[in-house]
Amino acid sequence: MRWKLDDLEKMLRISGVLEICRRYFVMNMFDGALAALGVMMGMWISGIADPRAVVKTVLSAGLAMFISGTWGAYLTEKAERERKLRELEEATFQEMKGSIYERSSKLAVLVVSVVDGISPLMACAILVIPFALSHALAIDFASAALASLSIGIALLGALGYFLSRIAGKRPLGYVAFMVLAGVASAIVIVLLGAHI
Amino acid sequence: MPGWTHLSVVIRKLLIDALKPREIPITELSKAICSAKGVKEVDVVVTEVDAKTETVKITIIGQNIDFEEVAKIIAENSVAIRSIDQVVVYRTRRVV
Repeated sequence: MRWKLDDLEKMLRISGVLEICRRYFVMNMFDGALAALGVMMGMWISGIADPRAVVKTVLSAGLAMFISGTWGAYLTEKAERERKLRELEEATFQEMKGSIYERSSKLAVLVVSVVDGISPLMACAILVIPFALSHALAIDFASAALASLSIGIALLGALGYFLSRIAGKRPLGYVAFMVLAGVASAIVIVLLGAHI
Repeated sequence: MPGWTHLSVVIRKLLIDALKPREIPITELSKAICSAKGVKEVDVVVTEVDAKTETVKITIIGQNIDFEEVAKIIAENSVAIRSIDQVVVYRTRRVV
């Protein structure tokens, strides 16, 4: 399977993968950011004030989401693309093996699965930075947690801004909805900690 | 041997009726065909649109069109040739 670099842009355009990736990227990064925030807040309210434990737990969750995202997207996208290819072969009475359409489909499966897996892992990796650096920067656990929460909220806001750019609308609504999700989950976790 | 004249028949024009997936843009298809040996001009017209496919009429003009290469490029672009509706050939005398 040899893909010329010149063909790459053409294949990405034919497969329509950029739009799918954009959607998956935002959805899964949102998932990853909220999951990471949830795990960190959960550990905080449980009294586990060990930055290394937070880093390990959040990154483990991120890796699990990476594997589940990559695996799931690979299989579902592969199945969908194979069905579409078969339908097209039936419509044109021609085998598509080796054609640009078939190569575009294979490329789309790879790109979508990587984006789907890597976006939640990226969110988790970004959110644990304050904990990972807490020893080197000599900051206490609460400050690291607050910094991480702020980064998480900022990340959600950035995702909202990105969505508003896609929609061509004013950013305020999208940013507010995204940030609201982060704040709401933080409040629910804190309340959960206070009542259990 | 040098200086001998050689009679050969070359294709100057082809009109192909083909079926292509809707995702394949005719701009890319026509540019790809135009890169084939002996092709000078390509004209692609969409004549019918279906849910998944489009029927196209491809007119290829050149001094000496390499049909094998053109057919290969068309297949590589996921396009199925349904019929060849017109061919214009010339007999030329070339010094070889």
